[in-house]
Amino acid sequence: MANRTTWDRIRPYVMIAPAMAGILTFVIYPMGYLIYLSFYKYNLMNRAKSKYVEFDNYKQIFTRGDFYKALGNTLVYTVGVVALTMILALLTALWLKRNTRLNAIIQGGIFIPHIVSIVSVSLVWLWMMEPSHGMLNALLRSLGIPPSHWLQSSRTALVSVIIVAVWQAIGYYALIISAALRNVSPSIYEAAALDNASRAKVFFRITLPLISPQLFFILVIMTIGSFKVFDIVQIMTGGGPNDATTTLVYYIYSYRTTNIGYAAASGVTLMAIIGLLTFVYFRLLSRKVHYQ
Amino acid sequence: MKRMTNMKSSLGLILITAMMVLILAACGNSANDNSGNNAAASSTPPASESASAPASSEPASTEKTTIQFWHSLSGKNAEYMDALLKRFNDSHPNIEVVGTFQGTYDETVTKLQQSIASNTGPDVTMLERAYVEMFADADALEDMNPMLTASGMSQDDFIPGLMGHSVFNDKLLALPLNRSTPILHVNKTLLDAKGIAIPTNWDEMKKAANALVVKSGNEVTQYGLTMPYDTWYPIAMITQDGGKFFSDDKKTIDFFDNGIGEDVFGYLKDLQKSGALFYPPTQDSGTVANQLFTSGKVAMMFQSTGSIGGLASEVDFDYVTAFLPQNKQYANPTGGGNVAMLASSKNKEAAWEFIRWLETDPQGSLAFILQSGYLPFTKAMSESKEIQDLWAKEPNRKVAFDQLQYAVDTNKSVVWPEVMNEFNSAIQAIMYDSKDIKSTLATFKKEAERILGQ
Amino acid sequence: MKRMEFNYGRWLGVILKIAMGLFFIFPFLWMLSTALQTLKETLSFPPVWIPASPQWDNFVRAMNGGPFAIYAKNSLIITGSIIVLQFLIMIPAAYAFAKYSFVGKPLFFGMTLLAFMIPTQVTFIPVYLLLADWGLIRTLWPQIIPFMTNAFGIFLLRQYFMQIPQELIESAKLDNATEFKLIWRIMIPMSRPALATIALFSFVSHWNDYFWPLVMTDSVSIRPLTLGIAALKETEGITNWHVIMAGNAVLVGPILVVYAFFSRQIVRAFVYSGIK
Repeated sequence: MANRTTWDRIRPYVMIAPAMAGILTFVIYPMGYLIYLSFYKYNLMNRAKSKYVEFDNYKQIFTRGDFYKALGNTLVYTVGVVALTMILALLTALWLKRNTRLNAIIQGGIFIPHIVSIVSVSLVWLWMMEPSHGMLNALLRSLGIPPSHWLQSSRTALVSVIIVAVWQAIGYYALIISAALRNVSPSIYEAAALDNASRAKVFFRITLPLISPQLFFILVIMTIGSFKVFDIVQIMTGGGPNDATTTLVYYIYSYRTTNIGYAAASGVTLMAIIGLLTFVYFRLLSRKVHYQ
Repeated sequence: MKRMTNMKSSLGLILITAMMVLILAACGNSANDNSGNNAAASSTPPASESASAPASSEPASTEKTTIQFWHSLSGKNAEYMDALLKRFNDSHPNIEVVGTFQGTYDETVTKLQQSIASNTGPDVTMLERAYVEMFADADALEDMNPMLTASGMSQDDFIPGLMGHSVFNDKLLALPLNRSTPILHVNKTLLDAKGIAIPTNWDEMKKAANALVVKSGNEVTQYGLTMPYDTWYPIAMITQDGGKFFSDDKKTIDFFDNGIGEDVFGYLKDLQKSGALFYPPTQDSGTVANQLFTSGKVAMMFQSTGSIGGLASEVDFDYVTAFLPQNKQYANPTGGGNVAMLASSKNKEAAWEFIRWLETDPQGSLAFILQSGYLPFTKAMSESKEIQDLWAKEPNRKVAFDQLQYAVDTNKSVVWPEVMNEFNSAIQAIMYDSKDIKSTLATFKKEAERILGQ
Repeated sequence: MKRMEFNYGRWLGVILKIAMGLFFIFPFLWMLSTALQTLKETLSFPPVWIPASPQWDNFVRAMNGGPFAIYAKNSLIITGSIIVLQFLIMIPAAYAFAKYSFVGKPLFFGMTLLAFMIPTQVTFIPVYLLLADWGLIRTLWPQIIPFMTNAFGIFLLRQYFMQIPQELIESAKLDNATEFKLIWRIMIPMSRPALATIALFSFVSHWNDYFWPLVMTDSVSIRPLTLGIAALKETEGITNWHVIMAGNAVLVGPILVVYAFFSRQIVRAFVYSGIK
């Protein structure tokens, strides 16, 4: 019996042990290594030439405009992508809610951008957003709207990247939301119909609260996913023009060969920011769980 | 209840399939482990499969040295390189060179850095010439001077214009291999139609480019000039204008205070504003420029010599090449890859034999250069019958080589890659955002001085 | 009369839906179109939409551009192993986080969330040095074990496990079911949509991954398809998009199969399951 309680006590630890081992080895240890590097002007190829510089790298981060710019871009990108994707994915899911063959096909179709390699996706958009010959500007002109420079001006480049990111993400999240929608018991809607409730009322009073756990979950994972955006920036703009689309991870990555100590220090700073976010979300999340 | 069993069986099926895959993976790996560094790492993949047989087979009695050679060649150029390596391996029973593509030049540099740090680096590598100094500074490259002398060769055997990134602190750390240089590509059909001669200086270029613009309404349908988004072309123009990228003491840049930077970018902006210059987007800009050129939408293009072969086979107009136009002088930077030996190599003798053969043997790079369109890099090669025959047939290629007499690289510094990032930002601010040239370059100068002062 | 109007609305809806579908499927069609063009057509400006005569030869050229059988085998082994490993590790961890309370749980769960947040582009150099230290660089392991813990998966699955009614678990415990049986018989079947979502997500991201295999491998025999396709691109000169896109079209094939399978699982399972 005593044996059993001991086992009961250590069982959860045994169950999470492999997962934690993976995290310790491939996340926590590398981050520790980066903290170490961040205090050096580090020469990866010849350690003897590395120089201990105390907090110089950090001082540089906070005195340089480009870091703040990258941070600002990341925030704008994150808020833009998360808000737009949430709204559009929800609308799409509502639109395709009924279980028909056409809806199933369309749902498969809008999922395509998520699975085709980012290279082909970006190539198409580079063409469509080409200022003088691209399709988007042709469309704008035919509607009498002045054409845009899209990716080629620092005023519109970030928005253009956000558009592509949203377009790419909608299908995936619409799938999750529509699955949640179908999960709402029909009897609830039938009861609402008997009460002659308006469609808007049904949506805001019944549907939305019922799928809110899924929406909250999507909100969390999308915020995190957007905060570490890299691929789409690298392929569509290379961070330009004039650093207009340089996000934090791209910024860090661009220093990997030339100044690894500085890259490490920015990485540690990113970790601190993300850690803060984690804490906030964790708080929100545990509260959410209690309500259920 | 039925549903439950259904679910279970399909899930079970997935899991079992997945398990088998995992087991397969484990087998594949152990095969790679057993066969050691030589066979498994070779580019002949079937070896890793056959190696899963009992590991008792002793290594072959002939002592064969394996040389790992990393390069950044892909597509057709990789095929030419593979053929070259086969020629070497066939003629050298004791040495096996394994060539592996490691991504773009930048990606190769990242991989070299981490592999040097962990002692998993290759023996010989291709290195984009601008990065050589950074590796030299870390003492990561082997001085090839003694070996060069011992083989009865000298640095004078090479084309001087291509040796700008080879010698640091009197050490010979890299030799040219797949090198290129920017050149002027001309759609002569379009120029002839308007009776315009091929421009040789900036003034003629400006007139020609503007004269070649065709508009329908407000929209430009044919441009005079284009060039990919790259630091290469502004650097070329800075030097043509009599400036230098870095000052001689390497503490600052040498094209701001003297107004040369403003001159160069002012020239480009003027052309851009009048519709004469099409400046393509940052991403895939080389392709966009090529597309415009081949479809006759632009009459002239600054572009690498590496494009000559592809363009010549795809265009249906009279296509010629010419020197980049001069202002105060002819000048052009160089680009492409050098070959270097790593200081950490354990097989330096064999590695040198490979490099020596690669650089000088008639069976070595000559065929690769002929096929790929890169520039001949030794004097002997440029005088060879094969190259002379090629030039007689394709004068466009000869122009590219002749221009090397004006080759000069003024952007040499151990921190050039980091300065380059900042210069790119400046180019983008000016060319895409039409930011004020003077203040943009002033900011760039400040950033460059900060990096140079570190 | 009323019926007519209704039909108009319906047809408009159908047309709009198809238009939307096309908008999203466009890059896929474009990829196929480019894969069948000649080099000259890819060089046209403005672009050619439909190739004059389909160049099936591009696929042959792509497949001859390297040992694609090896690449495909490696891709399958790597993604398959990652998914199996992740499932084996993730399910017990998610269960422990969902159903037990133990000292240090917030810390461990916080670590999991942190792992989800740190991008590989920031940590790849230390991880490479570590794996090189272990002598694994010339094997497939560096492309597999760093992904053994799927933090996103643990996070999602925990949510699901928490929503499974406690009564179900209690009644199973009364039947003297072991913890293993409980997970196998109740938790896993009840959270099938979540598992399908995770598997699909994981498969797509690792199958398409270019960055990690690139920095972790230095020999051809251990590389996946994505690197094989990258090696098709011309170093200098004119980019051969027609061949690259043929390679990409081959790359996307297996994902479509996996998607067709899992998306049905996701939607169907959601519809029937009594969770909530």
